[in-house]
Amino acid sequence: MQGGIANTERLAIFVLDSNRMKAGGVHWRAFLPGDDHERSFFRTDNLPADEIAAIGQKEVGDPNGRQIRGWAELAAQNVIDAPPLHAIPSEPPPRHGVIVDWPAEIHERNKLAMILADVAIKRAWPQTASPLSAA
Amino acid sequence: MSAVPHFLDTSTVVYVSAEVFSPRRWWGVPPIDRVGDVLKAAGNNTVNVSDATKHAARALLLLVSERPAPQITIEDTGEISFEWYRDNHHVAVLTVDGQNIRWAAMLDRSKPVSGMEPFANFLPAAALAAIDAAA
Repeated sequence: MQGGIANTERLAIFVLDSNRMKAGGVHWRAFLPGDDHERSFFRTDNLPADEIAAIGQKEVGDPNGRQIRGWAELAAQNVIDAPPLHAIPSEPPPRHGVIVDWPAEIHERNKLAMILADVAIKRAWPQTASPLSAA
Repeated sequence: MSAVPHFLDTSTVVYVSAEVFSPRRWWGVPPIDRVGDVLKAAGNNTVNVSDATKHAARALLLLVSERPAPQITIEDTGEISFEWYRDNHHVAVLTVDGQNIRWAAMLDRSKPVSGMEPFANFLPAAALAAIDAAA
C-alpha cells in the first residue's frame, strides 16, 4: 500500500486527445507529468465504466471544455513497479490522486511513461459496440 | 539604345527575361528542412529552443535519414525529440539539446531502456538499436 492506496486498486488516467488513443493502447505521452511534476489519476475500484466516464468528464473534460476520449487503466502496483514513482491520494476532488517523484531527466521521465503505457489497458469512451453484443 | 533588332518587326520579336533561364529557377528548390518546418509550425512555443539545439536536431535527422522518418516534437524544455512509434511495446524517443543526446525506448514488452551521452554528431549504438526495435 502506498499513501493509503492499495496495490490492487485500479487507477484511471483520463485522455482528452484522440491522437493519444492508439489502436493498441494509450500513447505513452498521456502518462507524462504536467508542469506541476504530477500525473493526475482517479481511483476507480468498484465503479462501472459509465460512472468512471462521468467522473472523467466532470473532473477532467469539463474544466478543459473538452470531451474525454477514454482512459488508461492501471493497477496501483504498476506504479510501484516503476520506481521512483509513487501514487498518492490528493483530494479534493473525491477519488483523486497523483503520481509523483518523477525524475528530472527527460529520458528517465519518458522511460517511466513508456513503462506505464506498456502495461496499461486502454478504455475508449464512448465504448464501441462489441461484435458479440450485436442483436 | 533600342533593344529591338533593326531588321525585325517588333510584332515578331519576343523578349524573354533572363530570369527564366536562371539556374535558381530550375534547381533552386529549397532542401527539405523538417526541423525548420516543425519550428515554424510551433511558432511562439520555440522561444527557448537554442540555435545549438536546432543544429543538433538537424544533424541527428541526417544521421537517421536511412530509417523511417520520425515524428518531431518541440519539448516544453526547449529540447527537440524524435519519435519512432510502432506500438506501446515498440517505441523509441531520442532527444537533443545541443549538448547531449538522450534516449528512452521500449524494445519489446517489459524491455525499457534509456541513456544519455554527449552528442558528437554520431548515434550511440544503444540509441540506434532502440530505433531499429521501434521503426
